[in-house]
Amino acid sequence: MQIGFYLIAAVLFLRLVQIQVFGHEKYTKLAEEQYLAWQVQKAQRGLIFDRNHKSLALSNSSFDISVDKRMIDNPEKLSRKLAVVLKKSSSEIVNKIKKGNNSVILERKIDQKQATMIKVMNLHGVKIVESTERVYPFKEKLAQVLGFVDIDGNGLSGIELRFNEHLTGEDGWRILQKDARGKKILPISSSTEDPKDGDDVILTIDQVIQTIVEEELRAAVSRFNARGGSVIVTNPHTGEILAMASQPGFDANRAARTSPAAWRIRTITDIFEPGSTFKIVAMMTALENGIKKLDDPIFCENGKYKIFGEIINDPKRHAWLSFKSVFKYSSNIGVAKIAREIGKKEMYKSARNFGFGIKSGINLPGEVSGILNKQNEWSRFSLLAISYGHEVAVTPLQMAMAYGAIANGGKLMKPVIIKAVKSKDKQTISEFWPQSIRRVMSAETARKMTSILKEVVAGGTGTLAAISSGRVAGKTGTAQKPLEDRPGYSNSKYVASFAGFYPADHPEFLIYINIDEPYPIHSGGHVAAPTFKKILQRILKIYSPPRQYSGEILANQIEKSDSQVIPDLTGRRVQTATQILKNMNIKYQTKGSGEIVVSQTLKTDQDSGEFRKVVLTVSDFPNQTEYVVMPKLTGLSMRRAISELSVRGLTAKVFGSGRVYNQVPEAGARIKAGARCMLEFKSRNQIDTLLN
Amino acid sequence: MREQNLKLDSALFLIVLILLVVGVVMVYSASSFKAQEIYEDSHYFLKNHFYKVLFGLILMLLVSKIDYTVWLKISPLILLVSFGALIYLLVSPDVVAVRGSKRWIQLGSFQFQPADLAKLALILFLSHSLGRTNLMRTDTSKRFIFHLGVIALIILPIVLQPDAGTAILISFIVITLVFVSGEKLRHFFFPAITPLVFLLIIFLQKGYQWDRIIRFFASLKGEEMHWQTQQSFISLGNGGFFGLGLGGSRQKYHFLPDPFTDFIYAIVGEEMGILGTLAILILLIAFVSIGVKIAMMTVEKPGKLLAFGIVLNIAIYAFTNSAVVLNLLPTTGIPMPFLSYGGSALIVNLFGIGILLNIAEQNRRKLSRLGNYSGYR
Repeated sequence: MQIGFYLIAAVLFLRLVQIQVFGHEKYTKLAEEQYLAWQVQKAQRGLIFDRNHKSLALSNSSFDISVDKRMIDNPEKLSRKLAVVLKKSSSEIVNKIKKGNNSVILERKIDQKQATMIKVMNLHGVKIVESTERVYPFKEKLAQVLGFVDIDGNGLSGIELRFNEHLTGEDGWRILQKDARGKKILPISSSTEDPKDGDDVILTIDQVIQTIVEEELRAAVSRFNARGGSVIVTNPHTGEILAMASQPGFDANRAARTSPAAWRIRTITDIFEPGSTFKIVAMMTALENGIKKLDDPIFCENGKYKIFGEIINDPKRHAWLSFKSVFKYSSNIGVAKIAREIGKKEMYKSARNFGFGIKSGINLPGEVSGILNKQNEWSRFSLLAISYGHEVAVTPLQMAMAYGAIANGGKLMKPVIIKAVKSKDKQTISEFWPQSIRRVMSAETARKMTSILKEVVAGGTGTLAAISSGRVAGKTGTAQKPLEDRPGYSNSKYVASFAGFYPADHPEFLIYINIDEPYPIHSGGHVAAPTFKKILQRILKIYSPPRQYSGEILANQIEKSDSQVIPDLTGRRVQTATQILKNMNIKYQTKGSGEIVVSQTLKTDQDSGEFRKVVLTVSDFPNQTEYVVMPKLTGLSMRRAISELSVRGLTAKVFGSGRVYNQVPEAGARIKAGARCMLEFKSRNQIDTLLN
Repeated sequence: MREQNLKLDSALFLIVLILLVVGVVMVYSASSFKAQEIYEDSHYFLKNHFYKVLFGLILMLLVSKIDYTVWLKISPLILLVSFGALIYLLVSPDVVAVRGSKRWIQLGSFQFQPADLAKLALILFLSHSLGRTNLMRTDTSKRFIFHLGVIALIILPIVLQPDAGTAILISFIVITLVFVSGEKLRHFFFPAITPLVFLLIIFLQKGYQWDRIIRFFASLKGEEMHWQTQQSFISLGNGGFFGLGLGGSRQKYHFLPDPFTDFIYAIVGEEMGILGTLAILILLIAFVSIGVKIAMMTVEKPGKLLAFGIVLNIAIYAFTNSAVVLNLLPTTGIPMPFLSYGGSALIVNLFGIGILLNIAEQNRRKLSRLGNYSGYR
């Protein structure tokens, strides 16, 4: 009998060895597959602020409640309990549960209180999923610029789209040990990656001014029965945009239910023939090139001028007008005659210098360049048409920036709408300094032009823009819209516009307005100029005496540092990095010795905080005979994983695609530099299904 | 020889004690999670088990001081009580079916499984009866019918619970005991075959048991294993050579069903690796060897049979349990003696060990009276 037992024991022994020794690897893998649960920890999306740190876009937690049908024994009983909290009839809930698949979403976006109540009830099979909801507290204000996000929080338009990567941050993850019922028990401490919350974006927008602009634009559009309109308010010295609005608009909180046409940032995506506001190009060129003086007389043909087989009309008949009065009364004939003297080449060059036909480079998605044909494509008549703003198409922003160049003494500024991008711990990630694109005209010319624009408002076409507290400089525009079906211009459809700045001699605000198809009153002087006045008065009521936007100080800094965004040079060879900086005219210093830029910092002046130079810390490739510590790569994208390895002088053999699921050797192992590691990649979904 | 014999009962006691200690530790490790979840007291099962172990040990020591022939004499009575309890299980409306079978009587917080007692009672009775009758050589057919009846009366109610595993193991013990007693085996062919016939009927009626066996054989051919066995393998395999360390089991988090009762051996393997499982196996072999040696040394036939029966009972349970854990047998619901979370089996087993110790002690006394007689075997 004993022998029998020994035999049995021997069989048991062999079986133990088979499972525990030879099966160890196989069963360890199986074990891990069933223990580990991948839990994503959502990064908080960054906020969008105005220049005074008012929230323009924020993220609120909301809760979705769902039930797992398979875990419910008595749907009726459950529904009665839930009905009280959800304020729904229990029969409605029962129906929803019965109709749905295994997992039914009962209600989306319940509030914190309801969620807590349901949590406390501890109902079997009921799940509460937290999600974040993007909220735009100012609703339709600035909506096109801010944009909106889809249900997963990806930016779809505007700032939300352009800065999506910054705002999104990086989701963290934890690998949890779970029990057989899928309950997550404990995080495995070595395998966690905390979420990196998204960066905040701070705009140059002033919410107060934006609100004024939105309200007045809306009022004007409705008062003049217009199709729409745009307003831009800038600080002409810095190119900062203080407000930017267009109609029709939409509520960003309900974007999905509105027409995509309303989502466009019309101030940069929509082009129109500018009409008289474009006359500044000819005005500037004539003055800058010394073709005309302010008081030179010009014969205006009594309102009708036949040339090259075309007829140019003036709204009011004039015989002789001085150079400045041509603009004061906005004579098309007068400006056409000036243009003939300027010539195609200079005209084209000036228009380009003002920034027409070129994207302004604003940091928003969807900008168009407008239309400014090359001079060799012009007909003889084109030169004249262009002088009073036909045959060209511009965006409202281009126009605002061009007038800004007059206001600030001659420099075309790059429009800035992003003040800074800051991480959640208030570290500045990037800061957008005012940037001068080029000098368009001399300060003297700018001063002369300002004096003409002052007269436009004092006694010309723009009198309705005048305010009592000080001088306004500006120009009206009344452009016939081109016909859609054939060449020529409409007699009933106009774009009324006004561009002006205040105070004329030391401008703080530049306001550009256009109103699309106002009816029946349609002239820039009667539609856009009074709107300008209303907006300006309301702004001044708040910022009076005009608030310093520190324009001068910032402008000084540009002169000194010619600020540019400094590229990320880490990981590059020293020669390459320094060459890039040399090309960009950025001062730099290298620290340490070696071939690779390991890190880069900015050195600023201790007193003024001004940028001094870039400091590059350089080092060598890791020594080939040294040992390095294997980094933890699980969960990383392929690009990041491989860069983590290459920094340590390691190479990788890669299997699959997606995120790192398995790595050999394991994290923390000491391995020879230059060694080859094995990385197994799986898609997020695959990892999820494997681990859940 | 005297010294060696002296060592036998203390060695046996030591083995049992080690197994009990390991059991207490493993029960705690494997049950704390579930105890916390159900009773919000991670020590709940540990305490319960510990008290039973303590009670069992005291009982064992007491019994070891009582002349074992007393139990033989009152074995018909014990058998009768067991039979009564088995019948009670079948007829009482108070008994609740657990997982489809009625096996336990609830006595306060204590779950009493009459089959455990019946098993020992049958061993006592058969040792008593076979040991005596064989010497007297009475009428074979009478004896045959009598024993057949007794065995059938005990096994039948167990089959009807239904508890196939226990019934089969009892049959196996009976057959072996009869074989050892020197009876002609064919006389006891029928009592042995009876439960098998009944089992066949049960299997044909009850889907899940039949299914288990089918799945077991399928799994041997490489098809997917039963969930519990699969999880058992993961426990053992993940444990590897040294194990995950005491308390390190992850399978106890609902993955492995019955982690501190029927599948505690798998948890031993997970936490202490093959070192742990082999140690247990070696202890069990040592237990069997010593137990059989004690039986061999017993001069009186009833005592010899009794010692065999007790050792056999524990050995069969231990090996069946490990075989199930290792998927060498289909799942039967058999606990691991001394290790598994205690029920009546633990108490009854320790009771049996008490008797065994007494037999060993009596042997020693006789041997010392015989002096240095070394030819005995």
